[in-house]
Amino acid sequence: MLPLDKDQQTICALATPAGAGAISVVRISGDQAKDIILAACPGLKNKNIESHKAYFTKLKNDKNENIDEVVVTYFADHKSYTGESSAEISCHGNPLITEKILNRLHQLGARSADRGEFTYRAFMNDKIDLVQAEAVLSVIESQTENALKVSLRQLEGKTSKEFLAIESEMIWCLAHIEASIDFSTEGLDVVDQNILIQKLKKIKQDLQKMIDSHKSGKILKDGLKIVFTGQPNVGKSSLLNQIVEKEKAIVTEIAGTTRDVIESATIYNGLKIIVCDTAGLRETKDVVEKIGVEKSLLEAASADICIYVFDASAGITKDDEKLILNIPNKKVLFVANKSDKLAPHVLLGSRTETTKKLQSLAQEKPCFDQNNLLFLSALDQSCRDQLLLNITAEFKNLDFLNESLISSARQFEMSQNAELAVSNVVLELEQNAGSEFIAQTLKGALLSIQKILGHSFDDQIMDRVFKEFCIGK
Amino acid sequence: MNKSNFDIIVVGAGHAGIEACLAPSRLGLKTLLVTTNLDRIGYMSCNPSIGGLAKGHMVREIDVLGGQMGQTADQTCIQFKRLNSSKGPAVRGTRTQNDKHLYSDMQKKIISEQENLSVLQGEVKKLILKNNECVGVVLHDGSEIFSKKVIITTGTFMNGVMHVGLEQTAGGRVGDAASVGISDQLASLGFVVQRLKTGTPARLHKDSIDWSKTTPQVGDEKFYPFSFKSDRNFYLPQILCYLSYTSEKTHDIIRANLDKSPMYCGIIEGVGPRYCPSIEDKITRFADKIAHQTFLEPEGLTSDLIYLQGISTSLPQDVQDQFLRTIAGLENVKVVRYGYAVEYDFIEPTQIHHRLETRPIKNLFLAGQINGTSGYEEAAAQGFIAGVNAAHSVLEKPEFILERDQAYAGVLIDDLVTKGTREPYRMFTSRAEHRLILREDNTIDRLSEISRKLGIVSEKQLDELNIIKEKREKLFADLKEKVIYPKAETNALIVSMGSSALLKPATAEEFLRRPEINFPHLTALGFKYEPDEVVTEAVEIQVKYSGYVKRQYEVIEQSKKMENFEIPKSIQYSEIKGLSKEEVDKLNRVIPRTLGQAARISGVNPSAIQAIMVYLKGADKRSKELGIEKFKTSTAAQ
Repeated sequence: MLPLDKDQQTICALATPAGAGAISVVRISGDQAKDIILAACPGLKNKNIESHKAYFTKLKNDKNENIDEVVVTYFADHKSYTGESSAEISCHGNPLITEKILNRLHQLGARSADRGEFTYRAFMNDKIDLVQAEAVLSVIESQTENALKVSLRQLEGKTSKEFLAIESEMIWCLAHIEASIDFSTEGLDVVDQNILIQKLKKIKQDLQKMIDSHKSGKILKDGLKIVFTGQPNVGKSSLLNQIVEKEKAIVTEIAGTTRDVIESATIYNGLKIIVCDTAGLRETKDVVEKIGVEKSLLEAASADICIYVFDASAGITKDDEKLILNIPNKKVLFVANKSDKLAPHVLLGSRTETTKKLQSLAQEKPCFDQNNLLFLSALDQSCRDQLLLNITAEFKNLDFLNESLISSARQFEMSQNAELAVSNVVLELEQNAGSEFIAQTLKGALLSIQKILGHSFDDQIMDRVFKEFCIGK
Repeated sequence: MNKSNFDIIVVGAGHAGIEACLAPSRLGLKTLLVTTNLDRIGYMSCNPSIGGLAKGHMVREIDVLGGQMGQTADQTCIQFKRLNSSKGPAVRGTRTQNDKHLYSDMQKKIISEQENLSVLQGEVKKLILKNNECVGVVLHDGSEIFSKKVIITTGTFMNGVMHVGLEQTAGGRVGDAASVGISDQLASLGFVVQRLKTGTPARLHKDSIDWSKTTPQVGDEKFYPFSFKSDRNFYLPQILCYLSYTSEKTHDIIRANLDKSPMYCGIIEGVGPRYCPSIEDKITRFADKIAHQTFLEPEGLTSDLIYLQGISTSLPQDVQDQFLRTIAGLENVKVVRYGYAVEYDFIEPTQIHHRLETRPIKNLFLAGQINGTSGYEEAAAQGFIAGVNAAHSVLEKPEFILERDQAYAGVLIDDLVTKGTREPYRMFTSRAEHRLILREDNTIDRLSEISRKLGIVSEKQLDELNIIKEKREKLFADLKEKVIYPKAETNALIVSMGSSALLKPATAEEFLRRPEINFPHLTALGFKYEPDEVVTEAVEIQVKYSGYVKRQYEVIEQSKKMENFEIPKSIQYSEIKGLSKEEVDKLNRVIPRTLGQAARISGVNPSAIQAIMVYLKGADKRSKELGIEKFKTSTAAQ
């Protein structure tokens, strides 16, 4: 009988993608892993199998018939990824074989692992902290090289290390504040208020850096979302097709062809870019198109960057102005399409005029920048580079290898809480508030960081006090 | 004395033992106090003072509940200080220097006059056990005394060994023999018994000190007694203490003789308190400090002895003579009693319940240093709680447990029985996560209703406390009702107080929240109140603290979930995946009532707490509770 608690059961699953391949790997983890392996591979029974060693053997079914020739790598308790006794079975990459192997393991008492359960167990067994656990998922899910680098960095514990450094600095400050309260009669050299303020400001900066990195971290992980918007028939769909390098959207001469939101993705300079085409914005009585227009606006709201497309020969019209002012507050790139139709001198005039118009629009919407203006033609293949270069410019200088980026919403939220609390601590110190109040506020900040790391409060502060100070009753 | 028929026997007459025997006898139970030395009842073995930061809080707490320490400290106080008076009220602490002989005399008198309480000089060698229940004690002469409950408060005496230099003598204190027998018996019953160490400095003759080289330290003029029953005027004349410093020379001598210190050549195995290091420790660990302060504290009004605070040592006598003479003012000092270290047995406190009854042996209670604490106040608080619980157990009343948000005494016991301790445990304000509400000023607001239920303090005295409480409540209500309008002349007055003008009407309570405003300012604005400091001070603090108290609750609220998360008694930790063997052992020993308590057990990791929570919540909700539902979207094999 399986133990009642799921966490006590031994789990198994296919670790490589389903389908045919040269080899497949089946993983098994839990108290019974070794017994199950020995039962499935009678050839290993009399061998004293050792951790981290691979054994070539035959895996057999309950009738002692061969299922496959396999290589079993065994990992002992505490020495495995999950922290439990576990093994990896490399077999021939045939789905029929892997299915038979899994069935055999089930028969012997293992159950199918839930999604992410191996990592869950690694966390539960203290092999990795929460930040690392989240990173494992990112590593698997990473779709671009840069995202993978960031995730691997988190998995190595580099992001944890930065949070640990922040935690340690907070504890130092708290220890000094607490010492000034609990040992005020000991003749301690109490830390100078200004040094405390300096330290806390540095903590605040470090936290801000982590917070700021979330935007890049998120974009690296989930991709950069750009949404095309504009009046009907200005060439939004053609531009999308150019970017994703295939005929994803239907392009016709008829205004209002695109009615639903069309989403596709491409990779550019290591960044995943999600491109959305939307219905052109106009007053319409067509029910379907009307829904499409509403969806367009919603889509624009969720974009990282909006691309407003208009006809270069028409310039920014009164209708455009209305639509532009309706775009949610965010970065907007203005694209004058079909500029191949304009003679060079007309183009120059049009550019000057459009820039002026954008300038006046920017007065109403400060998030607009008249310099975010491109003249191009969807018929010209180089328009992909022109567009994407412009869009990814701000991420060009990110040092993916050396910067810690936080990509989880949980870490982001906790960092924000901590940063706010630390700001309050600095304020309270500057206003000479009572130490017991300052300590209270700082504890709030520390709690947030410790939540990120999955640490507990415990006696760390007192331990630090005794380390730093000479205290005698 | 009928030796065979007591409700409760208390073994040991130190600060824990006194409270432990007074509480039950005041509740009408027939109680016996056994001590090895009738002359040492309530003796101050180390520093001649009571209270201090966080410790003063506990003295006040047990005073409101019916303890004795506060009153005796008040009446024998020879110097009074409110520590941290420049800091916020939550972290202020009352401390008295006491005439140690008068203190001991008064405690002895209280005990001898207490109804229902008998005292016996003798040494308890053994506990009488019947089916894992304690039913009495065996004395040194072999005689047996039976009782329903036994409370042991033997302090540093269990297998006590004193060290001076490399010499060792058995004993729990200079002049007193060690008690041998009980801890060995407890160990043989399976209790985890460990060693701790503490130390005391030399006592000096006052006439051999050149006082001109020291700095006099004056006490406070205003007396805020510990006890609500005490007079608000000093009972005794107030004296001075003196401040002096060690020198480089002191440190050189000590350094040169470290090989003669039992701490440094490995003779002492017990762990000493980090907050109260010996002078040997101080100069070794903080080598760059060129001088260490020491307070010279008279042991009494008529005593010739001076206690040398901060210089506890176990170096040989000749070395003590040498280095003491390098301290300013002590050039020709005459040592009356040399400093020494004492090593003693303590019972790992995770083996006792919150009610201070041991887990393995029923009807056996432990309190004080035997549980690994240090300090008279920590001992008294435990003694009181043990005494009440032993009494309640006889009376078949529910157990008496103070929570962490009710009293420092609650923090103390919860820490001990859930976390255990590796060094002598001393209370600090920073140990209390509810620090901002556990204040000295609101002790009666926190505990007077609980006290009424306990029934040790008389109804009449509680009614007096109630009057104060009601006055505070009324004043608070009045403040909320009184509105100050931003009229020109009012604002002119406010500005002249160094505050900023009102922009809109404000209640007096809102106005009083301003740090620069206090009650006398309100008088000028036409607010009428009775200027009784016992009332106004507490109300003002309550008003000024309210914002921060709210913030504190927000932080606590986050952990409160764990505090309310009960762990069923039937839980089998060994079945939970993800717990190490050590964690399982610790959890089985402590048997935490809630997840919050489990989280405070040292050596139980956060991941273990999560594992327990997951286990208890069942597998279905698991991922969601942990905030790792994202795992579901990942591939199974990771």
